[in-house]
Amino acid sequence: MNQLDLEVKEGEIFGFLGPNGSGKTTTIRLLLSLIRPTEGSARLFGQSIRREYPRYLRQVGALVDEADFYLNLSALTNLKLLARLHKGVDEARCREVLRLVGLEERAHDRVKTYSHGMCQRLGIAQALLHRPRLLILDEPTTGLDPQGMHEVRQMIRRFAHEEGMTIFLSSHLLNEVEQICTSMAVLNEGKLLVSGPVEQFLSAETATLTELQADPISAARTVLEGLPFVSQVEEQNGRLHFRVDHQHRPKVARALTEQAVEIYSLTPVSRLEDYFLSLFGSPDTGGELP
Amino acid sequence: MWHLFVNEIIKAFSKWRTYIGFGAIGVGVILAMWGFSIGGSSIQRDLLRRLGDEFITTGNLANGMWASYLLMNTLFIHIPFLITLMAGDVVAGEGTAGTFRIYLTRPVSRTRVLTSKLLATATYTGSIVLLLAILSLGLGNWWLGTGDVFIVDEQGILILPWDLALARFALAYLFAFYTMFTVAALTFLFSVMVTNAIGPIVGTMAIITVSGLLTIIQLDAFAWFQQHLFTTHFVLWQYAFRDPIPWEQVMDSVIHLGLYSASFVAVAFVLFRRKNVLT
Repeated sequence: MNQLDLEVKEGEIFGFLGPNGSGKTTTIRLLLSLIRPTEGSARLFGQSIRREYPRYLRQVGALVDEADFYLNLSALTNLKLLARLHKGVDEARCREVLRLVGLEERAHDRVKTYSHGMCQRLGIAQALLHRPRLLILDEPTTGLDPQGMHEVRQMIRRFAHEEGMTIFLSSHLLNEVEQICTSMAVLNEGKLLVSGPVEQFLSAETATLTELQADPISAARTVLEGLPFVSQVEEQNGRLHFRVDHQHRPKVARALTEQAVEIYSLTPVSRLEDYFLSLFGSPDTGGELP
Repeated sequence: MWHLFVNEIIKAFSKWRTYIGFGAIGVGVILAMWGFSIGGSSIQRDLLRRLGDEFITTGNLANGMWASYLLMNTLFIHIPFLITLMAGDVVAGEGTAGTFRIYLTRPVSRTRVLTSKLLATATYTGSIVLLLAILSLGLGNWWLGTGDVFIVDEQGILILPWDLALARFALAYLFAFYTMFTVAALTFLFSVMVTNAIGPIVGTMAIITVSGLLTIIQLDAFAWFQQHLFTTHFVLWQYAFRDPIPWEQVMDSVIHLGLYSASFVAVAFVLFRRKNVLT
C-alpha cells in the first residue's frame, strides 16, 4: 500500500473498488489488524492499527471474505461465543441480529447444515452484534445467487439508512457499487487512483455507451455501422447498444431519421463500467473488474 | 479472561478429536486391568523368581496399586500423543477453519486470546492425566484389590504401604502433569506456527521419538547433552516412588522442564502477536 488516505463520511455507503491484486483485501486486513504492515503506519478512527486495535475494533464490525464459523456449533452458540468478546452484548442481542438477517428460525441448527447464502447472512449478523459505527464488508455477495445478492444489498441499504451505520464495501462487482454506494474509491497496485461521490463517475456527459430502440432494427443497425464515429454495435433484447462520443449523438439521430428509421428512444447508458474501462483500458469484463 | 477461557473450552469440546484422548484412556485402562486380572499372577511369579529365596511374600502383589504404577509408563509415549491431538489443533485449527477472521477482529488483544488457548490446553492436559489417575487407581483397586506397592527397578526394591502409596501417587501425578505440560507447550508452539493441526502432532511426536532415543542410548559422546534433553526428565514422576525422594533430582527436572515450557510458550506468544492471518 502506498500513501492510501481515505475519507469516509459518517452514514455513507462507501465502495472500495479495484482490479484483482490491487490491494483491497490487503487494506481491509491491515485495518482489521489481521495482517501487520511491513513498514509505515496506518490509523483508523485516529488510532494506530499496530497498538490500539482492541480499542478501535469496538466500533468496527467486519466480514472478510467468506463467512467461516465453528461448524459443529449452532448459529446462536457461535454468536454467543463472539458476544462474550464484547461488553454489553447479551443473548437477546444475538437473537435480534439473527432476526435482522432472517435466520431466527434456524438459530439452533448447527452451522454445518447452513447453505452458503445463510452463512453469508450469519456473517453479516456477527458483524452487527456490537452495533458498530463502521461496518466493513469484503465481497459480501461472493458466491450468492441473484436472490441472495439482492437480499444482502437490501440489508446493507437498511443498515445505512435505518441504523445510521457507515458501510465500507469492497467489491469487484461494478453494478453492485453503482446500485448501493454513495461514494467510492478506486485502488490499483496499492495506490489510490480516484475517490469521490459515485454520481461524479456516472455523468451522462462522459458516458459513451448508448442504447437505441428503433424500428426497423436491421435498418438502424446498417446505418450505425456505416457511421465512422460509431463503434461496437451490438443487438441485445431487441435494442441496439453502441459507443459514440457525446458530441456526435445528435448526428446519429439525424442519420437514422434520414434513412426513415423510427426512433423510440436514444439514451446514453451511464455505467460505472464505462468509467473503469477508461481507467484500466481492459476489454469488456461483463460488469466485473478484471 | 474467564469468558475467553469458556469460549475455548466450548470450541475444544465441540470437536470429536477432543474425546479421543478420554476414550483411549478409558478403553486402555479397562483392558489393562482385565489383562492384569487374568495374567497378574504370572507376572507376580516372574517378579518373585528374580528375588530368589531371599524374600517370603504373602498376599497379592499384583494388586490395583501395583497395576496403576505400571500404567504410569504410558506417560512416556502414549499420553503425550493423546495430548498433542488437542494442543496441535487449538491454534492451527482456527487457521484451517478460517475462524480467526471473525475471532481476531474483536476488541480483544491477541495476547489474551492466546492466553485463553494456553489455559484451555493446560486444562485438557490436566484432565487427561487426572482421568488416568482416577481410572487406574479407582478401577484398579476395585477390580484387583488394594494393597502395598511392590516396586522393583534399577534402584532396588521398594515396598510402599498402601496409605503412603496414595500420597506418592498424588505427588507422582502432579509431576506427571508438569511433564506433560511441557509436551503440550511444544505442540502449542507448533500449532501457532502453522495452519494445519497434523504438523504439530507429527512434529512433536517426532521430536519426542528422536530425543527419547538420544536419552536412552548410553554413549559417552551423548553424555554432555543428555541431561539437558527434556525427554531425559520424563522420569520425574518415578522419583515419587523412591525412598527417600531424591529432591535434588526432582528440582533439576523441574527446572529443566520449566525452562523448556517457558521457552516454548514465550516464542509462541511472540509469533502469534506477529502472525499474519491470511486464511
